[in-house]
Amino acid sequence: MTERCYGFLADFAHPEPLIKAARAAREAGYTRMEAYSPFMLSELEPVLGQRSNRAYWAGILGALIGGGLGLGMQIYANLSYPLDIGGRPLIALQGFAVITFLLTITGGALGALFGLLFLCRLPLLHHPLFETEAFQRATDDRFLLCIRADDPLFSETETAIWLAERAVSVSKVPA
Amino acid sequence: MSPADAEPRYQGADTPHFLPRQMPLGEVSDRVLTVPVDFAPYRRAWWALFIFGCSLLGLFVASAIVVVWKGVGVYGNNNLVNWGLPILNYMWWLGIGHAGTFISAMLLLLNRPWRNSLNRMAELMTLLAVVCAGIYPILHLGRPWLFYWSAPYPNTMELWPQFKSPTSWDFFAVLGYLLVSLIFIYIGAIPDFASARDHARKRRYKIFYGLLALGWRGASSHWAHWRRAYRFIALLAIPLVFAVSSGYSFLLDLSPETGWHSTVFPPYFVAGAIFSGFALVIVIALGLRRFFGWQLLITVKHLDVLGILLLASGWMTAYGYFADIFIAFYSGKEHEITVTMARLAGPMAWSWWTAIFFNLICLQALWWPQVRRNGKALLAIAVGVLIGMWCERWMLIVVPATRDYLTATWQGYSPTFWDWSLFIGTFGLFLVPFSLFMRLLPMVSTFEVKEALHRYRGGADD
Repeated sequence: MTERCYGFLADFAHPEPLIKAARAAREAGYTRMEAYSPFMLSELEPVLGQRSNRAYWAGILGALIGGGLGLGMQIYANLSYPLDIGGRPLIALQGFAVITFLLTITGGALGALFGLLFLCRLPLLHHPLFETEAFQRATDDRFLLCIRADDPLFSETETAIWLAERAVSVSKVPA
Repeated sequence: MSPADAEPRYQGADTPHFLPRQMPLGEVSDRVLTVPVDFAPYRRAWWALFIFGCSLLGLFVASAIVVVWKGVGVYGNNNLVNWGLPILNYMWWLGIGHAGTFISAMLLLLNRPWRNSLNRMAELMTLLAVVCAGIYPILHLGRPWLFYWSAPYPNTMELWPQFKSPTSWDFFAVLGYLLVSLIFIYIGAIPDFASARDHARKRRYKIFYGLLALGWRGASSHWAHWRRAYRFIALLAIPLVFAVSSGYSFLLDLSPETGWHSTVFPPYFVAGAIFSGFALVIVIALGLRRFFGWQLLITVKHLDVLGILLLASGWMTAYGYFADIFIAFYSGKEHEITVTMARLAGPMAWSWWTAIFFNLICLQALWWPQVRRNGKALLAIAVGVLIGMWCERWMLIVVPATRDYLTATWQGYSPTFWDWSLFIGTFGLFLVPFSLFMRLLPMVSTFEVKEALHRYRGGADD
């Protein structure tokens, strides 16, 4: 068999067997794998070593940039065109607080959005998995585990058998 | 109670998400995601709604053209009442938006899984309500094509907006609120777009949803980031709601008008905003429930909880009414009392008493569970609250302006035909995109419903 392969996709009818299989695969030494589910399974995060707070940090960074630009813009504009109204201070931080706050929040939301897209490497309109029939229900009611071909332990025969012992069905994903 | 609602499985189960414990995951997708793909059963009713919306939108466009062409003189605004209906409607619509964010963000962070049946429609309502609101200040400018002057941009005159003024704050508030709501809806809908893409059979739907889904695959590493990004934005959205509503109460402070300076205004406006928004959420939830036959997803128990929320936020708003009046008399200032008496017994007292009638008296029917669980009664109360809140804004904005410091200048106010037609037209501005969303988007967040079903699984079927 010389056909290039993305990995093996195991199909489960329920989330619990998927979590069990993911844990078992981790214990068996597989490292390059990914689970697919129609909704978030937070139990999988520690199992697959995917706990990461980088999306929060992207949001926080966006918020800081938004707030910084907001405050900077107001200070700059007031220095660039000074208006003396009743002797009030030119740089009135209390007055600037509202826009700074609003732009902090807007920046935070934009940061979280772009952070999410970057961390998930989206948009990505084509992926080998989309060609696999078993994947069609991954966003509906099936739970899938994919062991990728670039895993050091991956072997066309053994990985397939190992997965077939646990899953409802196993299919090969062409690259 | 309609006979369909009497069915036990529509009553709402004793689970945190109110759905039957053993409801199959596929059934959720079947009910929601097949709607855009297989629209035949709803086509006639949908077209009726869409054409009705289009005629209202036509009215809006015609009125907007008249306003732009002839200038703001077509409004009924006069020397004293220079805000009138345009700003009143702006506040009314903007307030309505707030409940959507509240349901989506606050109830997400408070971990109330029953929100999952309602959040998508509430978020879409927010987005469109903000659009309807945002159009008003622009059309009220006099030269609406120069509205971009309120944005800070480098120009040859080196002029900048006055950042110390609430009018400038309001520009950023509305813009920020629109952007944040849009991002929040979009992130929250990506997994559903992916699901719709995989459900679609026709190629054009596959392409449409495929582009919207950005290639989402439901990978566990993606979910890990998604969860954090979504919660982060929810956390930001809550202070934003408070900032936007308090922000437009500061707009009133700009003026020397009596009756616009009560310190209760910011919380009072936030409560009123959420109150009126819950009313529209109830109307939309009941409408979609009937339109798509989603009694199983939006159960009687959901209606019950919405009724309780409406009652609670109504009492918070009522506190604002009482505090405002109490402070006016307690201050002992003659003109404050004059304005308050004009609200209570002047020529426009109808606005105050209509607000009290709908927002306080009729609302008390919601203490009875039978009323909260009865679709028709709940609908009547919710529509009443929307009318009541509109009258409340009239009482707050128009009445003080008719009672200036100089008695000789006192003047009434009556909106013109174009005032009314523009307002009625904004319902088209709301309804047309909303009906397109109904046609094309999953109106219930299916993956969040499925997650809730999974998390609270176990035990016998209800």
